[in-house]
Amino acid sequence: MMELILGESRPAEVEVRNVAVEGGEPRSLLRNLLREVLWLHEAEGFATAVARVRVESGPEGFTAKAELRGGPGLSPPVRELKGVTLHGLEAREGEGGEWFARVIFDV
Amino acid sequence: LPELEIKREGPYRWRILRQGRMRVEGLIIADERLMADIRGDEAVKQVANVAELPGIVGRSIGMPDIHWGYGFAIGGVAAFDPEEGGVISPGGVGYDINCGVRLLRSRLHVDDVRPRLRSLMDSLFETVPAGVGKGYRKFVLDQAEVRKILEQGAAWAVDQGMGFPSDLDHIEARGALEGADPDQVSDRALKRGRDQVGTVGSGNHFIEVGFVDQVYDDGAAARLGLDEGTVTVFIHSGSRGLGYQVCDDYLEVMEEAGRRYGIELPDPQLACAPLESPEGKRYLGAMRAAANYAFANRQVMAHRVREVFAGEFGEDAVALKMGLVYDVAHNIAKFERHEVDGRERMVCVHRKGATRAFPPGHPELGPEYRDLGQPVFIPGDMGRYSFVLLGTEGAYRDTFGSTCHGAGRVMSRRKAKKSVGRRDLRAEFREKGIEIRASSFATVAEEVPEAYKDVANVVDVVDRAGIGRKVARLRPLGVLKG
Repeated sequence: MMELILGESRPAEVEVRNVAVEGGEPRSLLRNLLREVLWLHEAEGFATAVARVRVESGPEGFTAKAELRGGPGLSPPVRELKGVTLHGLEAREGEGGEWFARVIFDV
Repeated sequence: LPELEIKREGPYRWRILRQGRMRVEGLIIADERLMADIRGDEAVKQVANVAELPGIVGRSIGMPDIHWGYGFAIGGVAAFDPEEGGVISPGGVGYDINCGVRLLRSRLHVDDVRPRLRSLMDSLFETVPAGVGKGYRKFVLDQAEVRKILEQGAAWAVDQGMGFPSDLDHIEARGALEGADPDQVSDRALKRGRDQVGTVGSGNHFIEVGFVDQVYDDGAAARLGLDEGTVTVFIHSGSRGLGYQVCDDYLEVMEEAGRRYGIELPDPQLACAPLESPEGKRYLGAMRAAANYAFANRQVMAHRVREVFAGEFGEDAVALKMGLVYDVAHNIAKFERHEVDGRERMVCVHRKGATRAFPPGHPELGPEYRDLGQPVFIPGDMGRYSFVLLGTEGAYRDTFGSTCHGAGRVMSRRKAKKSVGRRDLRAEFREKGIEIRASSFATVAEEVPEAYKDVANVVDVVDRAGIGRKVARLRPLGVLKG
């Protein structure tokens, strides 16, 4: 997602932001996490370079606690992302334990 | 869903027959050539998907410029009856709530402007912020002021001295939707709105200085002040980050609400809730507030444009006769009265990439255009032309008073950019007599003329199908892009 916004420019890792999101299922958890990353960029100018995410599941669904490392992004960015759509959104675990995700952004 | 059955009905109408869970038929307005393109992407299926939503009435409709969107196709129109459990869907309006177009005219002739075009475009570029996420550092508002904009729309800007009271007579809904509720707009959205009023944004948004190069209806063009050679200014933008945030916030609300109300969806981006539900009413309040922000945004930009023209030509906007022809949304949902199945009903019309096109005599039109019909603007690409039309009875009868909104893409942004390669676009446009100013030429590459269908073909179908009436064609002189 950040590559779409910043192109080949990579933000310096000079700051850490912690975010926590919830989701009833993996795909909504993923979408909610990406929405937070996008919000931090759009409203606070914080561009994420690296994310370490810890996912826990419980009876109500899933929780993700993410440590985002990054800093000021490219100004102006390469592209504007209007939002993380629900259209075609997927996040599922394959038979071999690998994860597959598809996210479509409105640009 | 098995393959959809499409039946041609006359030269410009294609019915998508009911099947599966479709509650109503689909209808696409197109000729054979446009329909071949439309069949090539997911738009037909998306029209059918919308036909599955609760409370939809009449038909799920596609305009001649319809193409694949997120959930709802772009160029889609659908009306929902609250008395039949009809729904409201943020995806049916889109992220850019009240994205729309306004057109200014002037007493200037194209020959007055050509010699000063470079300087004029430089001044516009310096004065009106454009570009990805670009705010307006000289014009940052506090949240209380943003809330005023959400309630008052374009009138807020006029009260600040940015425009004339008569401008409001030439804006859809006089530039402020009733029922806007700033309390339903999140703090995040308010924050994003603090520095973006009066800004163009990026993507396909623009300010275009142009001129009338062909008139199809002399009487109507004269009434709109669009005689041949007249210099015009198009402003195409919407509610910027504030609107995106409102859409994003409410997609989550609607996803949850839809599950609770037992609404089964063919595509999650169609997330919706009954119009009469608390969630539906909250979204309507927030969406109308964001729409008002967009009206104010275009009003402030129009004021800046007038200031630039005044500086360049040494006369103020009154002397230059820079009146507002009209301002109309193409991403919106509104309650309107329409006849459906032989009965007049109040329905919520979703227009996503479709322009309202009310006919002569409609009570929502101001006195100046009541006998003429509502002006409609169909921008093309930045290298060719755009069109001014009028709303018709045909549109009111067949498409819930709606018509198309643009040319429609034939190339993705990525493909367009790749096709441009290292071409010097600024020089190419200059050779055609068009001055381009942009904060990023990557955006210009994504918006090159060949990335779009020829809008003339789309408008001809609109005219012949009777869902709009051609008045004039405009050609670009200078384009400001994000």
